[in-house]
Amino acid sequence: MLSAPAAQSDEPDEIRAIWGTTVNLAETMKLFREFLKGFKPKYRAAHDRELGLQTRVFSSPEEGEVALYETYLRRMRQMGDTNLNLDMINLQAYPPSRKLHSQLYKYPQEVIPAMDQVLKDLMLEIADLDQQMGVEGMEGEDGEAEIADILGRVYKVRPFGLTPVNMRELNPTDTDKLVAIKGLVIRATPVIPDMKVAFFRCLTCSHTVQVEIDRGKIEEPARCPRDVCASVGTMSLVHNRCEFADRQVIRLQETPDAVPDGQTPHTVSLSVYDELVDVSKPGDRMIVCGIFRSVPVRVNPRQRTLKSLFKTYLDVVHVKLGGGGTLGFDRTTRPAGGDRLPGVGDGAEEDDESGAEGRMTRKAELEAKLLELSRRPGIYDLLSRSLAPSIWEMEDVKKGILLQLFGGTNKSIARGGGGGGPRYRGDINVLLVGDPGTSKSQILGYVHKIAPRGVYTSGKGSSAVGLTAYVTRDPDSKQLVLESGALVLSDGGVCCIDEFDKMSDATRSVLHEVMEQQTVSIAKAGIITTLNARTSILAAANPVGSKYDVNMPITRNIDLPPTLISRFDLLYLVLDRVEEAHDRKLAQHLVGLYLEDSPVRETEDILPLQELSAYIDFARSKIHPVITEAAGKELVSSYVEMRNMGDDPRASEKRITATTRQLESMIRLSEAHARMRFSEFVGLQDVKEACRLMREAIRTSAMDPRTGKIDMGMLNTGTGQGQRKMRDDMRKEVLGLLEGAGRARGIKWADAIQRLGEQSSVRVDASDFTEVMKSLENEGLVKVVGERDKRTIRRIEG
Amino acid sequence: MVSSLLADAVADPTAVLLDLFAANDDIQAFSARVAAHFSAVFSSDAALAEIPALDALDARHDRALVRFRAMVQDTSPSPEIYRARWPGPRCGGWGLADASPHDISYDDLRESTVFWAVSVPAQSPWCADPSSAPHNTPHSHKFPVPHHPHHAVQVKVYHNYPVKPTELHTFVGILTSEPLHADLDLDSPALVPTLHVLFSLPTPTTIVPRVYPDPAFTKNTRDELITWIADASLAGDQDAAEWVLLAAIARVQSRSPPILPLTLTVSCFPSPSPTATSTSTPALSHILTQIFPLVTTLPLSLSTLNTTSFAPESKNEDLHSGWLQLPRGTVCVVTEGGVSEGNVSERGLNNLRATQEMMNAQTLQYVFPYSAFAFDTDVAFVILSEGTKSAFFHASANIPLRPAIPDFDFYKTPEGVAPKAEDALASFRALVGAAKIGSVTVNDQTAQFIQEDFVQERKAAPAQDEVLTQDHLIQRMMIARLLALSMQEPEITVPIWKKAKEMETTRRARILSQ
Repeated sequence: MLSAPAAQSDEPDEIRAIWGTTVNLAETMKLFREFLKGFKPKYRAAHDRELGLQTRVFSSPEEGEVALYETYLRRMRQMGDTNLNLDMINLQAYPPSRKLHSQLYKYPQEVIPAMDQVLKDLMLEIADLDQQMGVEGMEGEDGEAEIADILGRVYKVRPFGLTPVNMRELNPTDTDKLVAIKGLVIRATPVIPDMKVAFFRCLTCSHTVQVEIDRGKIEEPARCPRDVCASVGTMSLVHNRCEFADRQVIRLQETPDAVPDGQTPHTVSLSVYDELVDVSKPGDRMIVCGIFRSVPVRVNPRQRTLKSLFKTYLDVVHVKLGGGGTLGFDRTTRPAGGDRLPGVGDGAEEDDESGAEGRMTRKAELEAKLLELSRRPGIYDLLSRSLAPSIWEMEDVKKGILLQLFGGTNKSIARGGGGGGPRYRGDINVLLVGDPGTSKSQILGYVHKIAPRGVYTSGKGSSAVGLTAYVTRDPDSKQLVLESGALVLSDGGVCCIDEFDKMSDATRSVLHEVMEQQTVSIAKAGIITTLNARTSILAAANPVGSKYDVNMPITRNIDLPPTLISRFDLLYLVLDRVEEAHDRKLAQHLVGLYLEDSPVRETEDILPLQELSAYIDFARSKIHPVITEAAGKELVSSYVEMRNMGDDPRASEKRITATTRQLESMIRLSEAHARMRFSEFVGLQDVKEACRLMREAIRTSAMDPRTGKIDMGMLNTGTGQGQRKMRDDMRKEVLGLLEGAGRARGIKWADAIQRLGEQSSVRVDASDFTEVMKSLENEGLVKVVGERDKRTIRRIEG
Repeated sequence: MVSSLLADAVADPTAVLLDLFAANDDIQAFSARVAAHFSAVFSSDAALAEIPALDALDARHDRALVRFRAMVQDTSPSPEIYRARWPGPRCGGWGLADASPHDISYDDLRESTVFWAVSVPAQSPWCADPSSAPHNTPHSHKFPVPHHPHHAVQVKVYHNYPVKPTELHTFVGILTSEPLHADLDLDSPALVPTLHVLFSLPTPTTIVPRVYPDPAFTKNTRDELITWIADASLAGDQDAAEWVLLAAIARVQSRSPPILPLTLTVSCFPSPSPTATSTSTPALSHILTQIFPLVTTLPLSLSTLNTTSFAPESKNEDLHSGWLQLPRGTVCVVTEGGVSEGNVSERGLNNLRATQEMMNAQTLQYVFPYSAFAFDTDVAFVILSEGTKSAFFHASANIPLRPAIPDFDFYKTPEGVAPKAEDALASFRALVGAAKIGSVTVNDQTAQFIQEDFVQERKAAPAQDEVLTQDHLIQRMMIARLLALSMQEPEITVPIWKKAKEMETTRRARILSQ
C-alpha cells in the first residue's frame, strides 16, 4: 500500500501514499488503534455538552470510564460477528483521533481498509490476551480454536454518523468521499455475485496470479508476470477460483419532505454488499453512509473509448433503517426478532427518534423553533386562527377541530402476552351540523390539507376505492348517475366526510365499527379479518329540511341514528342567523378576502399551513401527556357537574344525563389540549378548556327546545326528557281509550289520534304516536292489524 | 456584426461553442456565458424566428440549431455528470467529447439537468409553430392524450434554469441523437432525440403575450363573441354562452386563502346520437380552440375511465403522463356524452377522484412508488352533461341549456362551423387572453354597496328557505370578478355587481323551473 517516495509537502513525515491523498497510512492505523483502545464514553458526553446537544446520562461514573470498543470487540468474538459499527463522531470526540475523522471522510477508500486491518489485529491481540488470562471460553484449546477462527475471517469497520445531506446536493466534487443520505427504497435487484479477487492462469506456463479489485476495476495482466515466460495476452480468468461478494443494487428515492415544492423526486443508486444485502426492502426509509462514486460510461455506441458522461452511485458501508423525520416506521410491521442489521457496536441501543436525528442540525433547528412556538402565551388562539384563516368567526368550532387534529393518547391494557385487552381510542370525532351555505365544506377542505394522511370524501360522491362502482340510469329522472361503493379510511389520519347525511346505510354501518372499535371487519373471498382503522372522523351534515328548524330537536333535524351521533365527541350546530350587525361584518370580511387584489387579513399573525402541519406532526409523535392527580380530580368534579346540568332539584322525575361516554370525551380533549401545549402532563387548564368546549357544543345541540334545558339523553337515545314524559302520558291515555269502548273491536288508527288530540292541549305528533304504539306492541299490550290507513288497534292481555 | 453572428449561430452552433470556450475555458462560468451569448444574439423575435423549429426538421440534421416550444413532462431523471473540459483544453458538454485519456480530474466534471419535454398539449393551431405533421413517437405514454402524435425530446440544460413539470418554455439548442440518460449503462440502448440547450425562455400562459386591459377592446367585441359562441355551438343560448366564457377565463387567484377558478356544468346538453357519423367532439371544443390558446377535450366514457390514466404515474422510474397533466391556463372541456351504463373499475374511480380533486382544490397527485406528490394546477373546467347535473362531478355552477335554435347539430365538425373573419377572431383572442392575465380590484364605494346589499337582502328574505348565505355571496363575488375581467374593466363597479346578481338569479331560476 505504501509505494511512492515522499513528495514535497508542508508537514514532515507525510507520505503521499496514493496520488491525490495526503494519508500517511501508518499514522492512520496508529491513531485508530489508539482510539479503539483508549476511547471512553465520557469523552463523547463532554463533546456533546460543548455543542449544547443532549448528552447521554450515565447511571454511575464507572459507566463513562469503560473502554467501550474493547467491550464491543469481545462481544464480536463471542457472537462470531465481523462487523463493527463505528459512530464517527466518537472519533471527533476523542482528542487524539480527531484528525482521523476528516481523513476518513475525505479518503474513505484508503482509510477504511486500513481500519479493517487494525480491527483484525486488535481482535487477535485481545483474544491472545484473554487466552493468557484464562478468560472463560478462551482456555487452552478453546482459545486456539477462537484465534484460528478470527484469523480466517474478514473484519469490516462500518462508519456512520455524518449528517445526512439531500441527494440533490451531491455533486462531482463529492466523488470518492464519504457521504450520508436518506431516502425511500423503491427497487432492489436480486443478489448479484460481484468479483472481488480475480484468479488468472497463464495458458502457456500455468502460472497463477490473483488480482484484487481496485476502485471498481480489475486489471487483467497484459503479460505473464513470470519472467521466464512473459508471454503476452495469455492470462485467462478461472471463474471457480475467483472470490465473489454478494452485491445488490438498490434505487433510493427522495422522501417527500426532502423534495422542493412542485418538483418530482430524484433517485440515486446504491451498491450494498455481503451482510447489508436484503436488509432493506422496497418501501423502507433509510439513512445510508457510503462512498460516492462516479463511473464513466460510453455515450456513443460506435466509439468504445469515448466516455464523456458519468453514472453515479453510492458504495454503501452502513445502513440505518427508519430515520425519516417525525414518522418512523411502525415496529409491528418489522420481522419478529428485529431487523437483520449486521454488526456490533455503536447505534445499537438507540431507537429511531434519538441518535442520528439529534445530530441532524436542520432537524434540530426545526425542533427548537417548534418548541419555542409552543411556549408562546397565545398559542392556542394562534393555532386555531391559522387552521382556517379565511373563515369568519366560528372560534369554538375551530378550537374543537384543532384539538381533534392533536388527538388524545391511545391506551391499551395489555394482558399476559401483550397486545391483547381492550383498547381505548385517543381519536376525537367531530360532527358539524347546520344550515347550508355556512362554509362547512371549506373547513373540511382546510383540515384535509393540514392532515396529510387524511381522506376527503363526500357522502354521496364518487370517492370510493377498492370496490367497483356502477353507472346506472335512474328510473325516475332517466339520468345517468354513479353509485359509489364504500368509504376510504386512512389509518392514523383524519377522515373528512362532507354531506354525511347522504351516506348510504352500508357505509354507515362500517362507520359504527370504526368510530367505536377503531377496526374494520372484512369478509371477502373466504377471508374474515379485522383491519386497524385508527382514524378520526370530521363530518359535516345538512339538515333534513332546507334549513335547520330550531323548534325541533336535533334528532329530527338530521337524519342520523342517535347511536351514531353519540359516537361523536363534539357536535356543533352551525346556524345561519340573520342579524344585521353580524351580517355586515361578515360581508366586510368576505369582500376584503375575495375581491381585494391582495387579500387583507385582520390579524397578520397567522401560521402558514406548513408550519401548523409540522407543529401538529411533531406533537403527535413526541408528546404523550399523562393525567396529573389534580387534573384527574377536576375531571371527576366536572363530570359530576355535567351530570347535574339542567337538574332541577325540585323535579320529582329522574332525568337521564351525561354518561361515561362524555367523560371519555373530556379525557381525550384534555389530553389533546395538553399535547397542543407540548406538555407532558395534563393539567387543570387543559381539563377546564375541554369542559368548556364540551359545554359549548352541548349547549347548542342537546338543548331540548320544548323545555330549554340541556339533555344528554336527547342525543344518546334520541328522546328528550320532556319527550319521554309526554310519551308516557300518551301511553296512559291510549290504554285508557282502548279500555273503554271498542275493547272488543279495537279502534282505528286515525280515530285514536283524533281522540287523543281532542283531549290534549298539545298537538299529537304522528311519529310520537307511532313510537308509543310500537313500544306497546312490543310489550304485548296491544295488537295492530291491517295496512296503512286501515290499521286497527286492539287491546290484548299481556 | 449582428447579422453575421446570427448567421454563424444558426449555421454551426458547435463552432460558436468552441470559439467561446477557446476565449475562456473557466468551466464554472462557461454555461452561463454560453446562455448569455446566444440569448443576446437571438434577443429579438425576428432573430428567434430564424431558428428552425424542431417540428420542421427531421433526424438527419445532426447537431443543427433548433428551437422547441415545449411542455416539461418528466423531471424525475437525476442530474447528469459530464466531462466539461478535455485535454487541450477542449470543450465538453452539449454532446461534445474527445478521445479519453486515462485519468480524470474531478475538477473537470460538471452537472447538467436532464428532463423530458413534449410539444405543448392542447395547443391551438393558430398559435402553434407551423410544422410538419408530428409523428407517433415510441414514447407515447409520455403525452397526456393517449396515442396522439407529438414531438418529444430528451432535454439537457447546462446553465442554471430550473424547470417544473407542466411549465411551458422555449428551448434553443443543438439537436443530436443519444441514449436515454437512464439507459446509459445498457449495452445497446435505444437512441432518442436529445436537445442540448444553449439558452431558454419561459413562455407566457397565454402563449402570445397579452396586455390588460386590451387597448383594442370595445363592448361590441364582447357581445359579438358571446353571440358567436352561442350560435355556433350552443343552439343560440346566449346566457349559457356567457357562462362558458366566464368559466373559461377563470384562473387561480390565490392559494391562501384558496380562491380557485369557478367550474361550470352545462347541463341538458344533448349527447351524440349513437348512430351519428360525425365524431363525438362537441362543436364547443372547436369554437373554444379558435379563441383560447390552450384547449383540450376530455371525452369521458367507460373505456376512457377504466383503461387510460388521468394522473401521471411513475412506473419503473419513468413518469407516464395522464389526461390531466396540462399546462397552466388550459381550458378543459369534459364531455359525458360517451358514458353508458356499466362498471367503473378501481382505476376509473381513481381517475374520477383525481379529476374532482383538481376541480375542488386545483392540485393533482402524481403517483410514485410508496409516495405521492401533489402538484398545483390552474385549469378551467367546463363539463357538458346530458342530465340535469353531471353524472360524476360537483361543479361550482350549473347552467341548464335552453336551445333557441331547433334541430341544432351540437357535434358538427370544424369544417361545418361557419368561418369567422380573421380580424374578428384576433379581437376575440386578445379579449380572452387579456382577461386571463388581468386583475381587478374593488373600490370602497362598491365594497360598501355590496355589504349593504347583502345585509338588506338577508333581512328581506320572504321565507326561511331563500335566505342568502355567505357561500352565495362568495359565488357572486367570483362571478362579478370574472365579469369585470371579460369587460376589461379595472374595477368592479356597482353596475357590474348588479349584473352578476342578475346572472346568478336567472341561472337559479332556470334550474328551479326544470
